[in-house]
Amino acid sequence: MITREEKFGWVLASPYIIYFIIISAFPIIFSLILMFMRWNMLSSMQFIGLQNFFTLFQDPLFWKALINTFTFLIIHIPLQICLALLISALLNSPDLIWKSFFRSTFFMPVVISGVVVTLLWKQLYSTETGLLNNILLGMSLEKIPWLTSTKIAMPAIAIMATWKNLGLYIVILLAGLQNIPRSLYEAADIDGANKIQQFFHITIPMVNPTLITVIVLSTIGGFSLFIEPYIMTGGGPLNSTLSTNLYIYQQAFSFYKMGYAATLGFMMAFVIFLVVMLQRKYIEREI
Amino acid sequence: MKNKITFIFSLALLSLFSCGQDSQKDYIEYWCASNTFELEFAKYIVDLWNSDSTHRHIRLQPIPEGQSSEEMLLAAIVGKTTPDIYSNAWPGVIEQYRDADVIVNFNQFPDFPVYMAERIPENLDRQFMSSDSQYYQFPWKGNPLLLAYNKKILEEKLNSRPPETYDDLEKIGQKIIEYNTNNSKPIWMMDPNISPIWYQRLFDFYPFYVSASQGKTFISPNKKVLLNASAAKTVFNLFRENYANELLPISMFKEDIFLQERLVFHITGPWSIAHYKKFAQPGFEWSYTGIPTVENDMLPYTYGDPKNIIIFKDTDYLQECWEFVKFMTSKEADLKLMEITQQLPLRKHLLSDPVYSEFFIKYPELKIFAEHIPYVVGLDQSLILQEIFDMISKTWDAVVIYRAKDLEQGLNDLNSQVQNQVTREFK
Repeated sequence: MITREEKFGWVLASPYIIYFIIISAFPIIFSLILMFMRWNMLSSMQFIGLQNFFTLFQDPLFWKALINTFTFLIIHIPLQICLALLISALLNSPDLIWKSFFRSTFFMPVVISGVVVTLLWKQLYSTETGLLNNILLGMSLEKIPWLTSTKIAMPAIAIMATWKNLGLYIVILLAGLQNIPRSLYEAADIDGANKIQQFFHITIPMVNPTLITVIVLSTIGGFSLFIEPYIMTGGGPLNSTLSTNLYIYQQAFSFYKMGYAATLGFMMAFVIFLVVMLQRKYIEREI
Repeated sequence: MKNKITFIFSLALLSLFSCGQDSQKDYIEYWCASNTFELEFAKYIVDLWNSDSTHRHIRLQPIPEGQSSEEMLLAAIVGKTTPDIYSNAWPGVIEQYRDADVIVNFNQFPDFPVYMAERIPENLDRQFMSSDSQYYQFPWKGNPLLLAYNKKILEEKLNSRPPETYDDLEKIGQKIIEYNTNNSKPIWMMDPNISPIWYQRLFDFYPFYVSASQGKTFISPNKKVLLNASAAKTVFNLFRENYANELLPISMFKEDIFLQERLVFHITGPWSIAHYKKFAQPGFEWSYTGIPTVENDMLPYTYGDPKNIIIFKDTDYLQECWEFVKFMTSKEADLKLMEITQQLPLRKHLLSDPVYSEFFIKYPELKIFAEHIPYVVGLDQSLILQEIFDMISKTWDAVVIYRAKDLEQGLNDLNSQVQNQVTREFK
């Protein structure tokens, strides 16, 4: 027998339940069904069994996109974590003046629209008319094909993405650093530990839980790489910046292969789950 | 308390579901392109139609903003919120709408064949016919792609005339190479967009392809794909050589480098006239010439970037929609279309018709585009046209821009890839 309070509780929770059903549960279940269908949104759905999965395993572009995404992560995550940790440690230093100014400056790119930032960097990276190459030419150096070389384009995108997101991770790590008691550093000072020893033996272990959060967040964020290649390179040159999300988008909204796009989406969800689990298993222990 | 909660909950649900309900509307809904000039034309034509009280009222709305109008139409079709009429449909997606049975067959109107024959140049009408030999789009306007050229660079610095053939273009290329060896700030022949997005190939490969093939698209009537035949090879080779000789930049540009006087030519349509007039620096002189042909005495074919009118099947006012289509494509309406948008109607005898003679005296730049209207070429009618252009684009990337693949091999692979898809589609 449901009590009156319980009923009232259900009523109060119902807006969120309705929201969850419409925004989360329905699309997930619908996508699960779509994986076994051929559907271009215009015609009726056609059941094709596991055909989308067979296509996926034989699709060289998907695997290329997956490798590209991992290449991006391998450059982006260590660069971002190291820089964020270093800068947040500097910002946490009691000797630093103009702290608020520096914190705001580092955070500013986070609040600017991703599209705007990407368009600006596209202009900066332009081989023939970009500011970066103009500076290089001014120093009598060779131009760099930032976005038009298969070897350089993805690292260039990773640098831009790192610049864009760095502020967010600095703020998170800074909060973690501020929770470390000053007495630990004072004790280490008395014991004769220098600043580097203090960083590795006090700061890193104490900030460990925050660091794991940052690694997991930036991994998931890295897997969602889309705006940068979509606007800057369209996935080129020679598919070297084609990310999995861009590929899923192209399949869904350029070629209207909704079933295949849903299959790719679920495959990526599985890959992200696997990577995050592995990260937690190994990194949590080691740091 | 319980009753109150039940009442509020029911009211909320009722209002939620009533949002989707729509009683039969007593007007025709018309969507036009959202750019300023076309919106102004649509307002003019709708006001004129509505001023006659015997006409059914038309409500005008620009197509909702989105990544592309095709995406927005798709969303409207899926959400069952299509208008009655849409006037900026790209023919590349018409087969998909036909296949989904959402658009009206114009052949059902008894006066359609006569009206079509009166308006559309003879060689153009078949381009818009679907694979079942019926018309699901009314051909409205075309924007022939031509080469805009910088007069000062071409005539004074390179001492050349506008190219008519590939040989002329090659000679100009040689002069650009010589010029660049003696100048620190290089100029380029053209600036095709290097992004591997499928629709970019409509603005570099395709106009040159239809010129080289003399008006033929790349799927033959018997569904044979011709992407490894001589026309495609010639075009791929032309651009490949020009990239190799650094006559075309492998770079992305956000600024207009034609207006910055870094280019000799730029592939563009009539919409560029207003843009150049507005943004060109004093002293900047430009003109237009056709896409060069492979040999002398070939006809000046080019891609027409057509935009057509469709009527959706959900309409309650089919005959009135057709009357409005005729109204907005009349001789007088076409004149207004040119005056307001500076775009060209797909109409016979555009240059010889006295209705338009004054207009072309006033806008001489548009005359060269109008001269090309009889030679505009559309697209193959295929359900997978975007995918085919994506394959072309990827091969273009590998063979032409980055030369990572052999020309012959690249085109053979492309041809068999596209042929497989086409065979599957028409099986």
